[in-house]
Amino acid sequence: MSITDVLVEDPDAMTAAEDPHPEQSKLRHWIGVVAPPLAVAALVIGAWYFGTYVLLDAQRRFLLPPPDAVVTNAIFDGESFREIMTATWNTARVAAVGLVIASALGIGIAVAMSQARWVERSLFPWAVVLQTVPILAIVPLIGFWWGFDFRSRVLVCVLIAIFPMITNTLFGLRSAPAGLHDLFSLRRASRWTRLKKLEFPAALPAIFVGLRISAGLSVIGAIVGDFFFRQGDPGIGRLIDNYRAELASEQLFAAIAASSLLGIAAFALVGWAGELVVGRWHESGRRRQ
Amino acid sequence: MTPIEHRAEPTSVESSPDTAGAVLELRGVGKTWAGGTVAVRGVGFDLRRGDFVSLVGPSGCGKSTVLRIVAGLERQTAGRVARPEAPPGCVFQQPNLLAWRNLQRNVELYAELDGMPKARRRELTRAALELVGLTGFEDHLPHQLSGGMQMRAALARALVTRPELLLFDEPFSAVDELLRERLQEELMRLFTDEQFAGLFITHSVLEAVFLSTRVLVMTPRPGTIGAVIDVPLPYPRAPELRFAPEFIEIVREVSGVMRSFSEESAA
Repeated sequence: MSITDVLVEDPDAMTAAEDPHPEQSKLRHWIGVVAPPLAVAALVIGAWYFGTYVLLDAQRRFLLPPPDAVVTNAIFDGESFREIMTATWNTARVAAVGLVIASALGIGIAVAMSQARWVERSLFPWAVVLQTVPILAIVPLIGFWWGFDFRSRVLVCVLIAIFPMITNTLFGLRSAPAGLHDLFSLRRASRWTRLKKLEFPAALPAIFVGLRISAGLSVIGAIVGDFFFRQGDPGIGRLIDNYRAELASEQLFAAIAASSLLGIAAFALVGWAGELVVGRWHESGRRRQ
Repeated sequence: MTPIEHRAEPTSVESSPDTAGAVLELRGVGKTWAGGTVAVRGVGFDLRRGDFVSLVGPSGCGKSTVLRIVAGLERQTAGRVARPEAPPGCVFQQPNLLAWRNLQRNVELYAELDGMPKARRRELTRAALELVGLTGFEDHLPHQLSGGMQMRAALARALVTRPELLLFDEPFSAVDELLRERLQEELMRLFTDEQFAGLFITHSVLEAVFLSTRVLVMTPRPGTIGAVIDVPLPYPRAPELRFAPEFIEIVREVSGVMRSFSEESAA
């Protein structure tokens, strides 16, 4: 057999074979990954304490409570914690439903655009317009038409999250190489077969890129909706606004942290789903050395 | 679509190829692009089972255009093409495997698109993988296969429906020398056993002569067939044939014709 016939596609297997202490080097690898961001976190917390105790005098200290006070008074305090978690959960539900609708609609619209030029030509400019209208400018109108509860909040999420789904899916559907299209042309494959067996699978990596962007936007949309729509279950945005009004700064900080965690969780969840679906075959999912 | 038994040819085709009908017939085929550029003109030749014909010529002479017309991927603007009802097997320069499908599912693609039932598909795929020596790799994804294995997979995919006509568009031009020679030998052996009709595009004279029963030399653009050179060397051909005087003599002849064409066009 010539050299090229040997499976050489797994770089991990090769490094493992060369390294006499794989456990140790794995540990070193993780320290390398975790240590730098931890060092930054330590610096930020240090600066925070500096701000609280050195820059602010005692009367104005409520503007920036020390980190330990945030932890003890907002997180270890059962009532505040429960309140924040419930509100975060409500916002998460809105964002999740919004994301599901935005993806289904966005993918559907992109598929329609990819199948017929006239659909693309008629819809795409409006998708761009939708993207450029500041979401805050139409939120009052949405409330005006559909009320101030769950439905309107979801609609805000859909409006803010749909554009990346359309563009990324469309880009993905168009990304199937001409050489692969030839295979289907040889067999006179129908449009539907081509879409199902070639264009859509080829689009999956791009669809997940879109999903990652849209997941973050949907969370933002849900929080924005909270500020405006004051009916139904209160979400984290409304809670943040309430804490601000009550000068409950420790709870305010904890609530902000919770909303960031929600964004991170959405991003990570979609990333994990993408890894599951396309990571096996797409190079973006495979680890690069 | 109904599954077609491509091998259900009368045996007389293989035993007496001279009297049997051609698998492929081109008469005065030309292609002019929308902008007015003439890619090829007046291309005519026949292919029977047991013919392996190479089309050689300088880059841009329209070799690939001829193949794409034969494959039905382009329409000729002049002339007539008679091809088998069943679509030909096609191997391109790139393996063109679907990255999300494992080897098994890649190789059975044509059979699947033809609407063949699953059991039959499996059976044909197993046979095709065995022919190219990839048995045991069915579950591997394309990125887990080496370049040579990917090329063999593309070959297996073309063979899977047992077409009587196989088309090759510079399939080995992107692999290294050693592997190229091995793949040529494997293809030559396949052809010896299966006796399909093969049309092979290449710019390598050595490759064309080693594989073919006949070499068609194309002129520079607008391409047409300028010379037909028979390669009366028996199959199976040994790798050492590449150094034999009778082989080198034919290579010299083909190269000479190619050079004279390019000098004519330069003059």
